[in-house]
Amino acid sequence: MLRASAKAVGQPVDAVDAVNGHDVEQAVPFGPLLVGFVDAVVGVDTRAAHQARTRLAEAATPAAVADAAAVVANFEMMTRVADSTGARLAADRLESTTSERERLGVDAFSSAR
Amino acid sequence: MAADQLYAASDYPVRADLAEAHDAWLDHVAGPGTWWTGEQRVAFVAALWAALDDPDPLPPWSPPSTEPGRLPDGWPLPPAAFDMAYRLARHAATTTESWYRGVLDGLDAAPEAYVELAALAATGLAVGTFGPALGLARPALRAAQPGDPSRQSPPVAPAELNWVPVAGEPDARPAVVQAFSAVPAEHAIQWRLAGAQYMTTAQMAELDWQRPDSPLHRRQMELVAARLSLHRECFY
Repeated sequence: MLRASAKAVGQPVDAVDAVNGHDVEQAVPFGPLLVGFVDAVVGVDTRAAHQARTRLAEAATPAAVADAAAVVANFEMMTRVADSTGARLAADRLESTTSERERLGVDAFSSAR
Repeated sequence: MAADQLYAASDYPVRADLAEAHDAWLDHVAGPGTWWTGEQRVAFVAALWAALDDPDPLPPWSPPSTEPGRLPDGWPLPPAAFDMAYRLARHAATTTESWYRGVLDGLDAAPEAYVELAALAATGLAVGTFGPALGLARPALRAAQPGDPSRQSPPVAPAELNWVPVAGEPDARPAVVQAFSAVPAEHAIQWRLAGAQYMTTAQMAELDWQRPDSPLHRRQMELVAARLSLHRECFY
C-alpha cells in the first residue's frame, strides 16, 4: 500500500527501503523520524521514546506525534487480528508481494502460514 | 470520565473522534458480551495489559497460568484464557493452528467464544499501547457491568483464510476483515477503532488521502504501519 500511495502523489518509493528507514525523506516526509518514533515506542527505553516524540513534534507538529501513535496502536491491533485468527493472504496478494517479502525476510517469520 | 478528558494530559493533541472511539471501547469492554460476562471481559483485558508490562517475560512455550503466583486469585475465566492473553500480548507471531485448537480445548467453549476473546486482545492492545506511545499511563478499565452474555451469534462457516469460523460468505473478504465477523459486536468496535486510528474502508480506496484534521498523509501512515508490523513479525 505504501508503494501505491507514494506513487499516487508522484513520489515513487522503494517500499522496502522506506520500511528500513533508508532514503525516504523526499517520498515520505519525516520518514526517518517516523521510523525512529516507531522503533522507540515499541521498546522499553522511555527516554528514547520521549526523545523520538520530541524530535517528531519539533520537525512536524505535535499532532503528528498523536496521529503516528494512533497508527502504531492500530497495527498493534491488526497484527493481533491476523495472528489470533490465523489470517492468510489470498493467492493473488501472495503473488503480488513476493519480491517485497523476500527482501524484508518476511517469509522466514514464524507467523508465515 | 468524558471522552474529552481521556487524553487531556497529553502534550500531543489527540483528535476528538479518536478519544471518543477509545472511550466507547472502554464502555464496551465493561458490559456483558456475546459469550463472556463483563467481569470476565475486564479481567481478560487486565491480564493482557499486565502481560505488556511484565518485567520478566516468559518465553512463548511457557504458559503463565502454570507459573506460581501468576494467575490472579479469583480469576473468573478458564486458565487457558489467561495464557491466551499473555501469548497474544507478548508472542502473537508464534501462534499456530495447533495452539488455537489447544486454546479452544482449554476454554471448553464454542469457537465464537474464542473469537470474542481474540477481539478483546486485539482491540485491547490498540487502546493499551496508544497512551504509553504518547508517554501517558493507560486509561483505567471501567467497572464491569452486570448481565448475562447474549449468546446471540449469526450463522458461521469454516473459512480457508482463517482458523476461526466466519459469518457471511467465507473468504469473500480479506482474512483480517472477516476475522471477527462471528461476533458482530466485537467486529463493529474493532472497525470503529480502525477508522479512528487509521482510516475507514472507504478511505482506503483513496491512495492520495489525508484526514482533513491530521498532519499525516496516507503514505506517512503506511510507513508507520509497515514498520510496526515488521517489529511484530507479522507475515500478514
